[in-house]
Amino acid sequence: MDHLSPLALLVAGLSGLGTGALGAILGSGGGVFLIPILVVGLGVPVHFAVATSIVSVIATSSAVASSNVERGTANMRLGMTLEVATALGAISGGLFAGAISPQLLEGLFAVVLLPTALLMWRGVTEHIQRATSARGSAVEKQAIQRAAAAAASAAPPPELGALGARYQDATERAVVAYRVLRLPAGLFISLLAGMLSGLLGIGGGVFKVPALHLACGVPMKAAAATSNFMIGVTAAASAFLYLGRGEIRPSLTAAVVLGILAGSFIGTALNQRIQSVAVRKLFSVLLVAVAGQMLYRAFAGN
Amino acid sequence: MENVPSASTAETKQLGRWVHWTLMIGVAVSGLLLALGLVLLQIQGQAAQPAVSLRPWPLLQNALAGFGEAWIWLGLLALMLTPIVRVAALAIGWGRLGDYRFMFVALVVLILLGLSISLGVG
Repeated sequence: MDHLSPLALLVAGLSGLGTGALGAILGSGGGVFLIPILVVGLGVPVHFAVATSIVSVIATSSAVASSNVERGTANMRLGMTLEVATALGAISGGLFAGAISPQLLEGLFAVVLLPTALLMWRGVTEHIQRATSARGSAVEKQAIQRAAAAAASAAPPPELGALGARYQDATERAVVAYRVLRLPAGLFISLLAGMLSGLLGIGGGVFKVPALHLACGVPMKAAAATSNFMIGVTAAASAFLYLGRGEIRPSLTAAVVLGILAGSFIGTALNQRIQSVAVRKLFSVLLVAVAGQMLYRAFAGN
Repeated sequence: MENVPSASTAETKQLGRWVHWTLMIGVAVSGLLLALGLVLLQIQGQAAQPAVSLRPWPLLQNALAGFGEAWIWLGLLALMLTPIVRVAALAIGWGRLGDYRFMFVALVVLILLGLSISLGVG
């Protein structure tokens, strides 16, 4: 059942390499690319592909998050808070996978994703963020000034709140500080992302990153890092359900995971050299790709 | 991160290092187990593998007997447990820093993950 030829294992590993690198750059688990490659390219049954994907996004998240935590771009407090919602969503999504039509959900999300991708590509989202979070921008400027003083006194600026954070942006050569706005909206979207993750075997980063950026005012780079930090727990919450149903093929999953680990390190190295604008545009393309995939699956009834 | 009101910057950075090493060790161990398992499986062939058992003791016995698929399963389980260990490390770390609000949040996440394991393979 699980036997794969060395060539098939190599192709699976290369698929993992590509999706791992892409996932690290874009802040997603890469599952949205991996599943079509496995199903269409390697002829893996879709439910096994979904199980492979959900395990592989744990690898992506763990590898990338370890670097982001060390650099300080991943907001651990915000991530842990949102993980309550994503874990709950992933468990319920995994449990109801057999009862709820994934086609309907995919179609609905595709409709939501397409305008979001367009707005992000045109940079409208950044204008919206500035316009709607004027209080946050002012706080941000003050917090950056206080950050220098705080570094000496080890007294963090209170304006950032319990969930806010600051980090050193290597590409922009500045300390970026932010306050988390509209947490309930972030929790709600995280819950939906977790449910979709449990249903479709994706990390859900494609939903969480725009949500953190647009709804909660988290800078794009921190949003991507925090999303990656969360994806491992989200995926683990549903992976054990797939394991219990016997849908994980060990050698296929091992080959993909090893490829993804290598790809994640390559993607992480590239991510430090990419400006936020490039990340945003790459993410827009990812959203369109996901929307197209979801629409196709919804209409084809596959 | 440097935004913890109840802890010094140095203590918070130390917590970040804990998490970093937890994830790095988890990924490294699982990667090594998966690679070893794949190599052994290619050498031995699928037909030579015993019936799959994910119970800890039989799985360990099969691994110690040198069966590749057992090593792969150990690697996959190590990988799937890595995020859970990370949450536990943060719960302990926040507790030690006196940051009980986020320790409680981490414990809630741990309970949810325990529920998932129980529902899936319990």
